[in-house]
Amino acid sequence: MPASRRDLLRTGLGVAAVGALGTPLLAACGGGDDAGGGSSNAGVTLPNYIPFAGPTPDLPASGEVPPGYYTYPKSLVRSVSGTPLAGGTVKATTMTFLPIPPPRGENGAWTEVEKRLGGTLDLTIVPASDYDAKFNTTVAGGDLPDMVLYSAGLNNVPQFAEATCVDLGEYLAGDKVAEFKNLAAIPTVAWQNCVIGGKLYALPICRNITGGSGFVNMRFFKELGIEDHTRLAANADEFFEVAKKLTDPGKDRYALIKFASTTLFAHMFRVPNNWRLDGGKLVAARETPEYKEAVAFIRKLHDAGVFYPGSEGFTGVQRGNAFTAGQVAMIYDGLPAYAGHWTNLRAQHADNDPRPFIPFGHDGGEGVCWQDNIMLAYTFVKKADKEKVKEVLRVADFLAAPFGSEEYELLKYGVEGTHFTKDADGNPVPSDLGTRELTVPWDKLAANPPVVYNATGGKQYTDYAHQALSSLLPIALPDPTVGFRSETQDRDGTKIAQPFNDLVKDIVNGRAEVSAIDAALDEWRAAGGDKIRGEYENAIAGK
Amino acid sequence: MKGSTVALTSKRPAWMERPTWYGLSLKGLALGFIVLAVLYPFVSVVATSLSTDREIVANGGLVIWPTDPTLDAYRVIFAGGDVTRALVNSLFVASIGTVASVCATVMMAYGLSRRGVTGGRFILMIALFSMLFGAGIIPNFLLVKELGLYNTFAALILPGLISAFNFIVLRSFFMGLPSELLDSAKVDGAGDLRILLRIVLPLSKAPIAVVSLFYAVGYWNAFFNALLYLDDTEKWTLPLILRLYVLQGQPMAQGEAFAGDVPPPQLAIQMAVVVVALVPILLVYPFLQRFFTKGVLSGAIKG
Amino acid sequence: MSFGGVRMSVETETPAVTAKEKPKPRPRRKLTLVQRLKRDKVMILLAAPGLLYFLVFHYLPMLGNIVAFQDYQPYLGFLDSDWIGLENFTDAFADPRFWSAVTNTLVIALVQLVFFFPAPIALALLLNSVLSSKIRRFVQSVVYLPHFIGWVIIVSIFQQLLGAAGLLPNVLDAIGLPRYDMMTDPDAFPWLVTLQLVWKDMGWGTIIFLAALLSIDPQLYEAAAVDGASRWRRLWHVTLPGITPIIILLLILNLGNILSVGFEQLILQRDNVGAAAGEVLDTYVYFNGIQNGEWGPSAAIGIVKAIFGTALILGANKLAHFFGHEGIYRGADK
Repeated sequence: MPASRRDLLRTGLGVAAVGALGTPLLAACGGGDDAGGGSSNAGVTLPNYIPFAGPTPDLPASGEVPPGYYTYPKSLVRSVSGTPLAGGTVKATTMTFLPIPPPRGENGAWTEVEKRLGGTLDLTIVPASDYDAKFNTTVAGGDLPDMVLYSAGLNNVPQFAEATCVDLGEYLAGDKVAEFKNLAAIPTVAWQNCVIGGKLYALPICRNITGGSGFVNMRFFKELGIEDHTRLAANADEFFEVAKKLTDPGKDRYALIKFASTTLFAHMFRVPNNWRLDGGKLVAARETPEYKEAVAFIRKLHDAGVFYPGSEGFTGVQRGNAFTAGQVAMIYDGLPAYAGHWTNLRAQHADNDPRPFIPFGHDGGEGVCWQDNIMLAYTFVKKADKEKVKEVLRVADFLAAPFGSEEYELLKYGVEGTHFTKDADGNPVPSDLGTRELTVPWDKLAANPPVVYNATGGKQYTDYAHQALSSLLPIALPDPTVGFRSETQDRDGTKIAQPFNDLVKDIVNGRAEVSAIDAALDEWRAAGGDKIRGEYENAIAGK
Repeated sequence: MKGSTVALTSKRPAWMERPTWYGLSLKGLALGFIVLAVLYPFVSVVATSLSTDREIVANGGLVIWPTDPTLDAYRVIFAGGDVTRALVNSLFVASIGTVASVCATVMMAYGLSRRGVTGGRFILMIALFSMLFGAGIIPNFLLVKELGLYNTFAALILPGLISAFNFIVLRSFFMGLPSELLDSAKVDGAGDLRILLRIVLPLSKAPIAVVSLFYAVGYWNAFFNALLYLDDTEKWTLPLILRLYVLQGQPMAQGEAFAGDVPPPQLAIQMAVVVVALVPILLVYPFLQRFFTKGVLSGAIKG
Repeated sequence: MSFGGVRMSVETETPAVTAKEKPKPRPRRKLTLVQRLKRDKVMILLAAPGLLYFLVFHYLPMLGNIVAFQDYQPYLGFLDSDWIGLENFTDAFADPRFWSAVTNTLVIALVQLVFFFPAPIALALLLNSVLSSKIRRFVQSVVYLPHFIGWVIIVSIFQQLLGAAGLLPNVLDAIGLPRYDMMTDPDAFPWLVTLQLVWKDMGWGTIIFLAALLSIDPQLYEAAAVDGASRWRRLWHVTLPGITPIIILLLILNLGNILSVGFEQLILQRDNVGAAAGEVLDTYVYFNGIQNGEWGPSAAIGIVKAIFGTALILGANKLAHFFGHEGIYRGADK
């Protein structure tokens, strides 16, 4: 099940359910010279944006909303000429959310990709649940591959990047990126997040900017006479009543499932995205009264028994299974998971109607969501001579082939006739071989710019998803600290926030009281929260 | 406790009173409960792995007796390839590891089994003192990395090559062999190596079998070292696959075995992976359990 | 076999030896070192790989502990990482998560001491009282089995039995009680891991006690019975005193291992209940050190734990000697 790990991290703010994850990536993304602990990204030339001249979409792109396609394009464009590798070998390490694919040499689809690359692409594939630990052991093992995906876990990213990675600015800044056409089609907002310590050190795995606010199965809401999924309830109190009505333990059905669930509710209560900038002063999301209200509301829901019992220990997959099985009506999960939920729920029951949840305001006003999924992670390129780096970038360029290109089809669906066939509308239908062999996570090394399309979803899916992004993106709050760096946050941010996050977890699970939040906030501020704030404020003020 | 010569007997001694019926039934109940509590999970895991979706839903989870057994779940896990690969990896590590460990342990135990061997006492102390402390996870990791063993199967074998405990067990046994036998062989002109191969080993089949079992089971079940040292899913062993699919709930790729058919339920697949990990142990155990129940390995605490 | 490093030896029936005449004792004479080496060369060569193993994999890693005094960054290596003295130690001691790990470790160890430790004794007494050797053998071979099952499998099975969608919540549900998920209840965690340990090792633990029970002279029972002692009085006055020494010894050795509660078992389940309840010292070192990249402070904790652990084991052995038993290191070379 594809899930956006990044936004789980970022939005997991309140509930530290993801275990011991390291520095949040985006916060670690900022950079500059290290003076004073905080610094900014000014003075980095980002790659110029040159959009891909692909097939005409059914729903046009507008602003940050990506283009939508009802069917697979009839004619494809070759986006990479020649062979990127000329007989060479590139090694890479990345993560996967999918079943483990057959290895290189036993995987026909992989062989086809290598044929087209003209060389060897040797991939070490690590399941996402272990990736942070593996990244750290790989770094410690001292044998970095040519390309390596990074998501979290290092305690000093700028220092690591400087010691081991190539400054990609030399190869991609400004017009230079024109040599790599597919990389040039990646939106600028994603590149902004790849500046580390004042240099462009990484390739983005870009996403839809917002991770959304979870999903609802409208089937259960419709049973209660609620038809408008963009406004499930007028306010929090009404939602509380709806949640109680949705819950029926006798039928093994509950309204909600635990996990990072503060996110969904934080959106109802208009909690800022990580920080709120107000006249040069920063307020952390957890310090806001909105946040406390959101936590109190979750606690109220918990006490009412509308969360699936025991679900706080569920893995992402178990949560997804419960949603699929109709055991819960609402789930928090990243927007990229929509295609998976769409397919799973509709296969399970014809009446299932999964829709992205559009947050409403707790007081009857508007809700918010966050710009928390600009990218999933990023890819570092190991220091090497110029020729080698260019070779690696050519591979990345190949892997970033956009929707509507021949390379995209090969990477995503394999070879027609072997790995997939086309249905009446021209949509690719994977064969069994395709299902097994095409789980190689190419897109977790370099990713194409997002589009809205689902081979089995048809017009309906594209409409729903496109509509959701059109509703969510305008209310998506930016994180004012993105692009700026706090050294304390990079080094110890997670550690400092841990006791607070643990407390919130205890509160929403009925093991502590909401009133304990204030004392925990004081503790957080004293432990380094105020220091982080100061460093960010200085960086933002350009000091 | 040496010389515990009391024979296991089924006969009630004359002086013992007749057991009361409630005493007997209480005992029977207690033992029955314990045996059931141990066996039930095994039975239900196997049964669930053979069950269909309908049955699992009807039972709300684990099944005790599948009415309509099917091997579909096994077809899926062996079609997917990664369970097969992990099985091969695990068998490889366990067999090479066991042979290496048993050889190294026997050699060391024999080499130090005779009193007065030059330097023997020193080597023995080196081995025994290692039981008192551990360097810790991080230094061990750094060592494996520095030796270049990271992401190799050797990292699963070498760091635990000799268990001090197994070494002591074998050494004590070798020391307990009748010295007359060894001396007479010596008189016949046999060298130390020849004595080991021709006399000591044939007499030590039972303890070596037991030690081999300990090593084999250890390698088979080894989880943490695999987690720590293996990067590449290609090299993954069964415990890691088991954790991924069963504990972390990763869905498994379902290959052509099920074109158009209803795929077997996730739970059956998960339990099938558990069974695959269990089978080798369950196969070996019956041949070796007699060593434990017969008291071959009776704890002999001196003093 | 985890009897806290208690020495066990393998007994077999002594092979039937046609005892030849004993060779006459040769007159002892001092050999030179070279002569002795020549005499023992095969034995030394056989022991050499083992020696090498212990030196490389048990002593050499001690050098790695220098990272405890560094701001160690793996990509910089030992040589280029900054030396920071004892800062890692002070940092680690100031970390509340460390102290919470210490507390959890001790709580789990205590619960296991009280509820796991007596279990094999009780089962051994029960088995010992079974007259039919057939039944006894059968039960023994069944209860020893779980000892050979790895923790990943055991946790997987318990997940199915007690987990959110498992047998227990379903049963509770069926009889009208609220669903209860023991696998994710932080308060129940010490009990959960103890329950798992009982399932895995209660049977195996009986081996040592059964052996001790067998060594009690049956004449004592007979004499007691003739004197009119009842079944229970015999248990109290003959059986228990007969195995008390071994119980005390194992208890002491268990105390020596109190800082190490099952690592693999806990690392697999820590995230189910969260670090606040599920973190013990060893998992703290792993998660903090390797997952979060805090190499230095974690190595520092590792050193502190090793020092305390060694002190505890040595202390336990001393105590065992005091009670008149041999520990793990004395007398191993007899």
